[in-house]
Amino acid sequence: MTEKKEVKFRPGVGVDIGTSFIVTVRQTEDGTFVNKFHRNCLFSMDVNDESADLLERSNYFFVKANDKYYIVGEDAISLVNAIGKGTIIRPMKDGVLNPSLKESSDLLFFIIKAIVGDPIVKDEPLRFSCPANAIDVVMDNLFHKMVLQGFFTKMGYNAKPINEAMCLIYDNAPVSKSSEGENPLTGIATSWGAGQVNVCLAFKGMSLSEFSCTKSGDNIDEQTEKVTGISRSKIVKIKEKKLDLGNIDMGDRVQAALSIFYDETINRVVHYISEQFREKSSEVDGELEWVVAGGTSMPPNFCKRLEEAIKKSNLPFKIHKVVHSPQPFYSVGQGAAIRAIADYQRLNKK
Amino acid sequence: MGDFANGVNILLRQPEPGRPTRPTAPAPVVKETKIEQKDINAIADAVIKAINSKIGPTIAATSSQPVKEFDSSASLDKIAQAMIIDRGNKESNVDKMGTIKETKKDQASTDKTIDLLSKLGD
Repeated sequence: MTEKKEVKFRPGVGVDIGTSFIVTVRQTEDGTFVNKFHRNCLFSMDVNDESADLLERSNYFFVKANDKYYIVGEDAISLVNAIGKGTIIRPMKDGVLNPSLKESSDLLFFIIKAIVGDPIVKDEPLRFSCPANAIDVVMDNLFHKMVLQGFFTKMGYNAKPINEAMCLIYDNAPVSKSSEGENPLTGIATSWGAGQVNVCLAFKGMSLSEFSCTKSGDNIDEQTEKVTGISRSKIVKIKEKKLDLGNIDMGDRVQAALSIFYDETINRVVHYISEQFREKSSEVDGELEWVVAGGTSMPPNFCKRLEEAIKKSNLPFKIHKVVHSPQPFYSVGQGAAIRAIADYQRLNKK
Repeated sequence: MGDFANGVNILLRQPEPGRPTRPTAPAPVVKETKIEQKDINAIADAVIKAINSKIGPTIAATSSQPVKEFDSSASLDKIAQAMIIDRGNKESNVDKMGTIKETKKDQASTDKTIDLLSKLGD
């Protein structure tokens, strides 16, 4: 049996707590990013002999709490698909803790603790992603931030929130071009999650403006389900395996519907950006890069659709490039990790 | 039962001489209802104006001082702490949970970003 080489990590951890997935990221000393992710959902079963037997035979990940078994993560979805019925519990809704589920918060913390692990140094800096307040619904994410910050602090971390879209700026390092030269860490970033689209305008690594819109990937699935009558789990499968936004099979009504709702989502977000950033346009010179990431942006040719929407819009900036993050799924976590490592460097320079 | 004075029902008592016997005409009803109503309204208006004129300047005087917003962060913090329940002895097998994926980035670019960010505040 070969011995596992002990991996040495740089102090500083990034945590992306999304509606669909939790991702934690650390960087090794040789520069590799180690991303650990887990699907953020649960399925509850009553405690009895049959369910105990199922857990023993299946090796499903589970937590037992309040006289129920909770199957966690991908296993929850596998089980629901296998038995053909049941409701998946999602501890997060629209990018924040789901307030309607009493049991979800402490289960979520238990799961986060298992994924994140313990600090590797005393008061290790940790940055956890947070959505900006939404502009299309009444929402205040202050409580969500405080709960998570308190939780990570109890774990022994020096924890701070970080805007989800700003994480993309740090991970992808966009540059603006003007007659006076280039400005690093400057541009627009959009994180297209399941529950929300998070947006920011950054200048030299600082946020000038940030907001979110609540209708994103889940809304696309929901609307497609309504118009086609096909179950969401099947729609998600088609979206993740077949959909190419540059080559829609119009004979497949699911693909046709997905294409329409993708267009609606993209155009809506571009419209909001045009309105929200108008007053900030004077603070940013030159032509900007637009960084794109998030699970909802993963179908091929998503960025082409975005470029078309930008051309038709009244955006107050010139965009010289739309860039899809090379790691769209891990980009938020990686950006948070980069910021946390920078925090450690700053604190240890003093 | 009537009222009696000296055994005589005073109600049946004849009026004293000289006193008019025919019933006095009822006092004329002055139909001043509308006028009275107007007066009441005018009075009410005058009172309201007086009150408003008193309140107006008072409000103006206090509104020049900015109202300090109530800081609810201490209360929220307590609720947040109460939500974090340590279920250390929970039965589970999630220790090895999580799929791992390694990614590589341009190390020089990443280190440059880290250096830039380490000079920024929070």
